[in-house]
Amino acid sequence: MNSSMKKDDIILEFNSPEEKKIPSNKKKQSGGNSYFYKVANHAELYKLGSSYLEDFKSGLKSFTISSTGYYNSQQKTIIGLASFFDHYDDLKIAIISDNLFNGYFQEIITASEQKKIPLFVSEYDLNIFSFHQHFDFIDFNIILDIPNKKENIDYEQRVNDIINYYDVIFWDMPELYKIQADPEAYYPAMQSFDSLSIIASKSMTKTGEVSSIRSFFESYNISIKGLLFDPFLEVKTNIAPKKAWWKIFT
Amino acid sequence: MKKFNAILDDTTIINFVFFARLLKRYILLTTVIPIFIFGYAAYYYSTQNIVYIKNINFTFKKDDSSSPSSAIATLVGEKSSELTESDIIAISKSPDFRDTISNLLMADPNTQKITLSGLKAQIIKMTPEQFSFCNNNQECFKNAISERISGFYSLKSSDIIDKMMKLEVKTLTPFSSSVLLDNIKQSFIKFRLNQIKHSITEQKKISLKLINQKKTELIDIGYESSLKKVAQGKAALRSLVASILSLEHIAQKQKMSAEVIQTQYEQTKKIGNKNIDSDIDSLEHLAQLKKEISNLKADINALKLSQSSFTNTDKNIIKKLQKDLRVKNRKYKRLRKNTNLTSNDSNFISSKSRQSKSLEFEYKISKKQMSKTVAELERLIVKRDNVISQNEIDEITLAKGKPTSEYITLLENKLMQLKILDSTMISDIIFDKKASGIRAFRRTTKLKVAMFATLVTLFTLFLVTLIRYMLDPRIYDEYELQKTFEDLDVIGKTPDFNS
Repeated sequence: MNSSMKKDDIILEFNSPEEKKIPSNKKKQSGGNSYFYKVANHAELYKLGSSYLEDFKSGLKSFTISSTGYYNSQQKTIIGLASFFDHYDDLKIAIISDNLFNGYFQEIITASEQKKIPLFVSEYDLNIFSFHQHFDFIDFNIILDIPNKKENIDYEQRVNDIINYYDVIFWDMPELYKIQADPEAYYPAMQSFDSLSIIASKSMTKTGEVSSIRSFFESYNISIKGLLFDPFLEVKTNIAPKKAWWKIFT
Repeated sequence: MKKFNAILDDTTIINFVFFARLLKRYILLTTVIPIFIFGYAAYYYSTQNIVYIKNINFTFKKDDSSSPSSAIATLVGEKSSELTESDIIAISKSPDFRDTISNLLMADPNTQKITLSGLKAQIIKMTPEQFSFCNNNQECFKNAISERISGFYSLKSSDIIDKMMKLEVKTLTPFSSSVLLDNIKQSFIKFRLNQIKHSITEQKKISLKLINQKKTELIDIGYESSLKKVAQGKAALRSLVASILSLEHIAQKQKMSAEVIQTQYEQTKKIGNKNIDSDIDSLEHLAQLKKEISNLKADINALKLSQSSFTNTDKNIIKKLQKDLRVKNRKYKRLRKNTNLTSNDSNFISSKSRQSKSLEFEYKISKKQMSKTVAELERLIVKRDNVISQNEIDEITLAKGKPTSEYITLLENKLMQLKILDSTMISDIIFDKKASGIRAFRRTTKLKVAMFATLVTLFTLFLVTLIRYMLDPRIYDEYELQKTFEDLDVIGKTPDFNS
């Protein structure tokens, strides 16, 4: 994608001519946000970001980041990538996470402005947290909660609306055990995943855990982009509840 | 196996860099294992018993002339069978040899002051204490020593000198090493002597048996009697031949004499003719008549002298005698008249006649003698031929038995040699007069212990680290992540933010 192209042009590119255009309230920005310059390992970010940018240029927009229970690492990765993309061009970037108020996101959420954006198809508004119009944070739980709404809303369509609204979406995937507990709820969202990246944390992540995540998502035909290595030691925060001893055979 | 791929390398097989990282990762193991192994090695080294070695050299090759084993080998026609290193080692390991040592040790009073504790024993005990379980039973003591003794000595061959070996004794005290060395040395000599003696004894038995067997064979074919007969026959033949020669000579002489006599007879016979012969007869008759006439005359005279008392009978007798006298005179005269020979001639002729007759007689005698001699000669010849033919038969018998006889001779020679060897044999294991000094050392040197500990440490570290790594499911670095998930790309590292 050429950065000289206008944002409206981008919207037109992704939206079908029959759909209404959603007015963009994103101001044209020059340069990236401050987090881009707070990165400690710029070279790695650049390498990482370039890889994702290539995918973006080839047409992918929905990038999923998962790990084996180290959400801080996931969040930092997403922030880093979002900052990179933001620095690259004035793009509408969404970060969808179920952990907005914990970890590294918490600081950013605190500094963000809560907004509602009307989705394209209906009057359904989506509550978001906009960080100085650089990137929007969406609570994953809201999306998961859509089927529970009293209104007769098409869940998949809603997800598609979100996908279509943004230029780049970063999914901060919950732990595998949560998805496995209610796969139907996550299924529509997973259908929109273009690629999955798995973070392996130094001295913490087990090979089996990575393989589990991989095999789970591959069973949904989600392509695995690759692995990310987190060299910074982190305490595992989201630990799956222990199975009863007799369930180890299940 | 995915994890295992991380350890392997295309060029060096083992990825040593990664392995070094693993060692650093499992620092606890890397620290504990060497400490434990080296600690144990140090403990092992320090708790080793000090072993005292004493050794003595010996040779086992002798000159063929004085080596009993080679002499025996020569006698039985075998190739020279020298004692070899393998033989010596076999002796040292044989149970009989150990029994020999234990017998000598039991007879040695110093045995009570030595130790036969194993070289790795924690507590060193003297033999009375060590074998107290035998309760003074000599047989038990002997068996116990015999079972243990092999661990205290060894044999080593010399790299420089051929047929030289070294007897080495190791015990836990210097005195024990000295005593054991002496006894084992004596045991070697004694054992070897017994071996040689046994060999000689067996050889003697075999030889004797063979000799008897062969002698029986000779008896069966009548060799001895044939031998005597041949000897006797030869003697008889010699005397017969001598007799025959003598008789031939005599016969020859007799023949010549007979021929001479015959010639003489022929010659004397020619001196007169037939008449000479009749004259010779007449002369003999004349002589006879003359004699009768003289006798008659003597008788008549004798009667006449006593005529006074004649009877008619006496007169008749005288008359008859006178008549006979007259008749004989007439014959005498008549015969005298008819003969040509004189008294001398007649004496000559009669002597010749007598000689001719005697020659004839002699000729006949000599002929008889000659024929007797010839008969005797023929008899002797026949006898000689019989003796010769009998000798030939005996010679055939001797020829049949000759190889056996020669074999018996060889065996008897061998037996004699063996008897000489038996009385003069010496051991072919010669020990040096002086043994080496006592040398103290620990079974395993420091260097060996250290090297072994190092090797074990390296191996254990490798193995344990490998196992630990294989069992460790966690991912520690990017390389490992990449190797574990080779079909996935490792995009990079997660970003971190400065605070």
